[in-house]
Amino acid sequence: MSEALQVFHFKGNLNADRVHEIEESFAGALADNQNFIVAEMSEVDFISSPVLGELMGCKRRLTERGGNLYLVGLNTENRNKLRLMGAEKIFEFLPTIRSAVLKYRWENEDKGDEITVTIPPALNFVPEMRSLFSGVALQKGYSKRDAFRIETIIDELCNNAVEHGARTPPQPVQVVCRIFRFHLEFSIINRNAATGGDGVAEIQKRISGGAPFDLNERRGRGIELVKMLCAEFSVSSENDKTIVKVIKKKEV
Amino acid sequence: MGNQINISFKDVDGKPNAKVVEFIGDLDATNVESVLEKIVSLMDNGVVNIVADFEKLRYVNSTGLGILLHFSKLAKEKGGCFKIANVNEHVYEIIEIIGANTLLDIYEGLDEAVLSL
Repeated sequence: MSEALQVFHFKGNLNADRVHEIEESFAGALADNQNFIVAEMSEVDFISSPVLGELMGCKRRLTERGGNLYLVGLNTENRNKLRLMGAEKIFEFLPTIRSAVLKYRWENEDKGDEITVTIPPALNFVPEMRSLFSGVALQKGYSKRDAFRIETIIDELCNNAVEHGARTPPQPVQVVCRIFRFHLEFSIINRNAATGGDGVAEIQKRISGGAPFDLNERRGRGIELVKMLCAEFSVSSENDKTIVKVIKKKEV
Repeated sequence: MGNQINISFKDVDGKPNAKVVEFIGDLDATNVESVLEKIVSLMDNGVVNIVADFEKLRYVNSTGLGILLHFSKLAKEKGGCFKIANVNEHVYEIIEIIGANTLLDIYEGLDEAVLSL
């Protein structure tokens, strides 16, 4: 649990005569300079309009101070009622306190989330990889266009790794993704083929523009695409591994 | 595992050497070979004027773009043409970024592309 978050557990019927009690709880937290509050509602049977109004007021006061109020654990009935009252436009309904903590961290600490996936060196595993990472980007608030671009980046880099990696014995391809609020970092790691050093030098040349790009040539289109879609693109060879790193910035 | 693409052929009225080819799904490295085989076979059988309908083509990668350029070149060599219609905005962006829009004959709508044959 993050110390920056204060959790209030509410129970029973939150009818109009409890507004004052709730108002005082929130006022105390605000006076203590608590800017992030979790209202845990899993044991709440009923939420009256005046209480919803108080929650909205608290959310507004916190937002003005750069903070937030997270509504957590609403039962289906309360969630539907709040939706009908338009509260979903103001609050994001979160299922658990943990999800509120993760959301707080995502929005305020920007340490990023890391996902690592390893696949066998076969082209038919690549579509699932690109689908996975574009889906993650969408879930994390990236636009559909960004998700499509991410799909393209992963596709091209994984295809390259599969096509040019060591084949005997077949070596897996690893994708490490660190996703942040405003950018993603990908590392695609595979074991070099026998000609790994030459391959890395060729890619480096293409990235730097040292090898002119010809659309009619079969090779180089994928690298050119990735180059155009990413803010940073590098390749290196460490021991017997090729490591391709890219940074894709979020569209604003 | 792997990715599905379906292609289907439709006749064009009054043009026996032309067909509309509808692409459905994702065109990528896992399926370019099968698409290549089908389109080349069509051209080898005298259908050298082709309109590719991309309305239901969700995705294309650099390998897919490669065969589209190949179809365009091959059709011209055979005295015909390879035109593309109904490209979605994401696919078009990829085509444009790589500069393939300068080499491919792209139309906004299918009717417009068919009429140009």
